[in-house]
Amino acid sequence: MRRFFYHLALFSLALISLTPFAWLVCATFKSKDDFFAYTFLPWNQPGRWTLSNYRFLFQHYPFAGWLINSVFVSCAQTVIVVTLSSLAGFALAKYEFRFKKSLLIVMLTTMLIPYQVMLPSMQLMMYRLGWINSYAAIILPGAVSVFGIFLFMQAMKLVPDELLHAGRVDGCSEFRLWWEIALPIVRPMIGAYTLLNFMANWNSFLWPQIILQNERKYTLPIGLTNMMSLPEFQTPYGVLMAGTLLSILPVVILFFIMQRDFIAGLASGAVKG
Amino acid sequence: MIRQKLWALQSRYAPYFFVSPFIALFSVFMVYPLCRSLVLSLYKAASPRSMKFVGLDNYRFLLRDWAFRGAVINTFYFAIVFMSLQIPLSLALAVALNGRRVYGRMFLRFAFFSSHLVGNVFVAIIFSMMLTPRHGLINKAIGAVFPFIGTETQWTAKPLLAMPAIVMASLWLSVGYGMIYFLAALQGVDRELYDAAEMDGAGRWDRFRHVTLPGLKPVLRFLVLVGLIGAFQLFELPFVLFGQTAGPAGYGSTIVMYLYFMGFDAGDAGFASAVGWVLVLIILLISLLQLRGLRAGRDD
Amino acid sequence: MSFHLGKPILVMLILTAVTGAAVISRRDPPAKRLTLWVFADSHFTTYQPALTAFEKKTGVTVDLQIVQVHAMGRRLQAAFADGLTGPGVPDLVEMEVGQVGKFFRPPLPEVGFEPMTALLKKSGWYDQIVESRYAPWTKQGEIFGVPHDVHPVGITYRDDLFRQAGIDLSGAQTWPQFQRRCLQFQQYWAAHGYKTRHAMELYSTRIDLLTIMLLQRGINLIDDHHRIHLADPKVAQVMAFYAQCVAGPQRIGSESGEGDGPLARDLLEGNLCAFFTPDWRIGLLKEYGGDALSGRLRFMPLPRFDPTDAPTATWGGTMIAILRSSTHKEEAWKLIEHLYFDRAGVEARRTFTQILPPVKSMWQDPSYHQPDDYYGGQHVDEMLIELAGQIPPRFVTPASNIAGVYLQMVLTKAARRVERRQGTDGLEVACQGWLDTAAADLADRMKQWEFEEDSPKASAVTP
Repeated sequence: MRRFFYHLALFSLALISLTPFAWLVCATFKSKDDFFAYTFLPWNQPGRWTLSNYRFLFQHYPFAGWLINSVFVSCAQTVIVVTLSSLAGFALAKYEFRFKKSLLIVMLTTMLIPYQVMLPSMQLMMYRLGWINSYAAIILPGAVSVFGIFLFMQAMKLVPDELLHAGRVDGCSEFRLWWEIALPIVRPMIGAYTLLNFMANWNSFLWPQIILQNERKYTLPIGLTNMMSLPEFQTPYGVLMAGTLLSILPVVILFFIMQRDFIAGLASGAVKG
Repeated sequence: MIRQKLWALQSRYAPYFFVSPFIALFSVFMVYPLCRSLVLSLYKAASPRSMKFVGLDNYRFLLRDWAFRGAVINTFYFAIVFMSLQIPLSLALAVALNGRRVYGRMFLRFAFFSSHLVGNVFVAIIFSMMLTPRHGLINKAIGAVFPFIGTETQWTAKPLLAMPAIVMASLWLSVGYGMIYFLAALQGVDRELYDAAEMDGAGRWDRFRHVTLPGLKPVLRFLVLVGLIGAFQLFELPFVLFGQTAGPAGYGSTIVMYLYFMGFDAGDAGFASAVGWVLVLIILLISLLQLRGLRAGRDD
Repeated sequence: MSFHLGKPILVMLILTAVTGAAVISRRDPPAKRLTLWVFADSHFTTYQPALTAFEKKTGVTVDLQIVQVHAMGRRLQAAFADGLTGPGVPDLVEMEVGQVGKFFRPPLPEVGFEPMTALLKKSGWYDQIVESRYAPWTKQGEIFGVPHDVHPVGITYRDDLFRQAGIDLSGAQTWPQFQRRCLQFQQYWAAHGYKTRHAMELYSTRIDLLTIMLLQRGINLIDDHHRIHLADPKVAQVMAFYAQCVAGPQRIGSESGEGDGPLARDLLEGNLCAFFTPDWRIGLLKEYGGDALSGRLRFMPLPRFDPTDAPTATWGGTMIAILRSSTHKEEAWKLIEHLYFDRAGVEARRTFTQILPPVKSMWQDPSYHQPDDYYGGQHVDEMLIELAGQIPPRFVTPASNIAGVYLQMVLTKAARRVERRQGTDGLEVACQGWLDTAAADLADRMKQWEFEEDSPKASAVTP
């Protein structure tokens, strides 16, 4: 009996946690008149359900373009940051070289500094470079992740030196050592780091909002927030919700695909870090 | 001969090759802007071209500006309330899910974690609709469960409810996230320790305190640090939820929002940089305090 | 050789290539001669047919873009600051009254908009436009924008519900009378089981409606000579009245949610039974309210505090301006004439919104003298026209927004006091005290940056 209530409590909590999703999905199928009239959907009148929000979203707004932009920016940034971080992490974990100590110290000191402090100076820099409105201004600064490097450095320390030696004896270049020996060993961590990074980029708002000034170049978070406006002007509620749902979906799909990798990697990273 | 030389070169300089792209980006997009912003914070700027050296004036003005004080108070309020709710809730969920015979653990884990997949901006958009008085999901639910409160709570219009609304949205976003970490740590706690404690006749609570908690310490430390740093950078949620304003009577304003309004609405990059450095200072202080607190905690 | 960074990265690499190709190959639409930014969806919709006509008539192509209202303020700010010209910067903008203040901070010759007084006078339109509507777009006597609207404000109420309660709302001449009738209305419905039936929509922290009441009495928080009127006894008086309307036992108002959708719903369900109605809100109401509300509403002028007050004021407002940096100013002016002064263009506006044009001669048009079925056959447009002539001028200065923030702070304090003491004893005196302090603080702030060309600190906190 106690176990029954234990599960009842757990599952109702889970239900509460999932309710906003259910609400969101319903909201996208409600017409303008029904949006506030029904909490979820007019269940007994399926005739009132509508796809018009989605149609309006793609016809009236450059939503497809925002989607493409978001995919491009997030993927490009993630690929670059994972590659660079694993390379640098490998070097820091497995080699001795000059300036390594001082580099580590400089990196450590910047770890705790919130990036917001750089927003004004970075904006000035982008003006000077003529990168306002360009994706380079988002992707390149985003490719610097001190956190990622430390993560990879910790993981790569576990790569046995004997394996690297054996590789060298077999005539592998240092680059191939990284690619064929080190990377497969830290594979689970790559999965988690990739997903975390992708999510952060996908949802990133503050910096792109400063850089992207042309509606056609917007990413999803920027485009959608600009659909919401002051109370004095029209807010297309259902359309906004449809856009929000479609913006969340890619991350959810990605998570489903990588769930196992992700949770394993997340946990190992945290317990060590 | 040449091949050999090349080979020797690549093995000798490999680490430099590996770190050089990072170092290039790091210096251009991190070290330089940081130094620049430190200098910039001593200037008053109207545009990228017109700037005036004002010394510490920006900092002086900041310290006596009530709007900034309000933003700092709001931010601290959020950080404290949010953290003191998130950590226990995440831990409780993790312990509940970690029981020996829990059915549907995979589903539950996903259900609690899934909200973390939604970005801040999207959460704010969803909540701005769900918090609508009388017609929003949250108010309808409150009215159904607590009829004496009713459905008319003005979450986004009443100053004193502004931050609680943000805390609520943040909790939905991150309780499951904390839970995942705790779960992983719990699974790492040695079963034998439990059994030994049980043999010694330790009660459920004693076992939790003396076996589980110490095992969770590294995760706890990590979550608190990451959580606090995140809390002090709070921006998207209130910014979007309050329609790109500082919220009712400024009660939704945070340090980063203040920075944003100053730098990009009013257009003073110098002043905004000064705000940023105050934020740096706050975060560094908190990290230091936390490290020291942990060290003290470890001694006993 | 397998891909050791993992499948996700491989997939992302491919996605990057595919979307990157799409992004690069995406061609910008053919460049147009003029670029116009608007922030309101309704304007965006109405201008499209008008622009087609304009292109046919003059051969000048126009790129119409919609930009979120806050984003527009920031983007223009950046453009002006950097002296930008070219594709990213428009030739013309429609500017919202709440955003325009900061652009009047620089000395006259450096304001980013083209001066328009001479143009307006030369073209003869100057005298045709409601004079008070120039005020928000004027700095030191120079006009920088052509007003789009008049935006007179009245009150819309649920006639059927008030009638059922036996209350004649429109008979209320003064605000205190109005409040008493609203209280009676709420008592009637509370006795009939409707505990959450509020008489009207009133904001407890936003100051839009309080500002309207102040403007009725001719008070701008900061006037065109940059004098501060925050400590005017009338402000304390109005503040004290407003605070007890939104808090405490005499409360007659409550609020709705984001946008006008929830309001229309609340009106229909009878949760909020009246609301401040500028002309732009009528169109939104009809849009969101649908047929269900038709015939159940009535319109009335605002009550006053004093017979010398205006029975209306203004809420919101838009102007169109030419940017100083534009290289096609003559064509831009032609476009303004087409959109704002051409009868066909203004007619098109009426099919989507009920916004009254500021050009007086157009009010003669028969379409403004038809009964409105939505309002049970009232001649709402005629009533709006009647009010339009009586709007006191509203001024906008760089410090107006920050003055609003001070007003908001005092209102918050006042409402809290009413809530705590459940009464209004000494409220006005307390308000006066807070307002005095606020006015002194504001003056201090303004003095600090008044003589510098860059004065960011003041307008930074947007209300």
